[in-house]
Amino acid sequence: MTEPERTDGRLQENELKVEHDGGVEIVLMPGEHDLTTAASLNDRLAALVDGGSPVVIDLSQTSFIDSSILRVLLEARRLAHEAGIGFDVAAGDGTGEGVTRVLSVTGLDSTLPVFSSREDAVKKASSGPGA
Amino acid sequence: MNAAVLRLTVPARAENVGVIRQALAGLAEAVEMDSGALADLKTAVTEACMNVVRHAYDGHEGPLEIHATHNGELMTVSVRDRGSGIQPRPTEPAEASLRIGLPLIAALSDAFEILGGVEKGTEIRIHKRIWVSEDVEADGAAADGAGPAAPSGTDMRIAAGAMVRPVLARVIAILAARADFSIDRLSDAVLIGDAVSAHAASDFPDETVGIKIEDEESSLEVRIGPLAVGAGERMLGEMRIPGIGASLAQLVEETRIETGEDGGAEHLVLRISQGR
Repeated sequence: MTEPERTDGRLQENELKVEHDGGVEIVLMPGEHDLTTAASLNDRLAALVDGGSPVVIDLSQTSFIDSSILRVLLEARRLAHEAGIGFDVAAGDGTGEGVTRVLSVTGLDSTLPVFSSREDAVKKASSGPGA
Repeated sequence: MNAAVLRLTVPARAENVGVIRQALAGLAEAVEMDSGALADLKTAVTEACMNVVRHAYDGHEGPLEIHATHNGELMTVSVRDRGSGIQPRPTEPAEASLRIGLPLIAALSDAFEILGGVEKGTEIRIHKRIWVSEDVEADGAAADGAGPAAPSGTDMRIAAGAMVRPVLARVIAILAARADFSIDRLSDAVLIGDAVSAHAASDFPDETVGIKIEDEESSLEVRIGPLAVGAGERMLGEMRIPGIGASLAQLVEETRIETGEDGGAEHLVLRISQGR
């Protein structure tokens, strides 16, 4: 039989998880994220930015994102930078092929930019919103 | 010539787009599609589906139809609505920052078409090479789909053969997960799907396996058919496990065979609940 565990996507946990590293809030987005989860991600990020701590989005467990998620990330980043807060994005070995492709065809991997390690993203976010 | 391999109709709701991605992953597994090509196809199809979810029906709920075909070299997925067609309208301010759905479809597909017109609904047809290196001409050949009624669940027609098992397993698994099934019950549900997949194609008219899954709060109702007369009993018989005297049908809360009004085609209905 086809093992249900083998199938990708929503069968994985896709609840947001927030971890703390020094003064930085790290948001993990495991599993698939699209319009279904965009509103809750938006609310969560807006609250974190309101809280005033630097934010890192960790995509190392993310298997899928669509354009509604890109929009949420860009908007949260804009709000953070307006508030003078660092907001950075990290990918990792577990980042889904589709996620990497979407970030590269939109050019966001270089304009955000997307760091290849969480440590680098944390370091960058701690230093504020500057380029 | 393109073989129609999957028709899937769901209510146009965002949560159902994950079901569509699972069905595509099942198809891709069966044709051994390149994983990068599948990743691109999933994104392009998601963007097309979300466009239907957000814009096709203007507040009321209608059908979102997926029609997938392949010719061995190219996978073609049509995403269709029965809405009022593409309307010229100003961009909503909240969306102005990033309207990249269509450019993403363009960037991630090998070719795409937008078809339709006012009051005719809209179809976005996405072509993707199954393998990355081959030079293949796009060859759209999607036929017209079913009627415009909004479905109450997930309605699939899969060409009998190797496609059925991976598609059905994934679709049942995600619907069961959504209905909060435990992993054990989810495995049971997938086992039932596998038993259906293994059934002789000759009992399905036109060699097309019809499956309708109604997902409720904590159960799935799987309606298999239309079937040839007597096929429902045969299918239940095949679920018996030799030598043990047990049957996979025991994993199911309810089984019934619905006979057509004219004594013709019948349906086998199985209800699987979250807990027992």
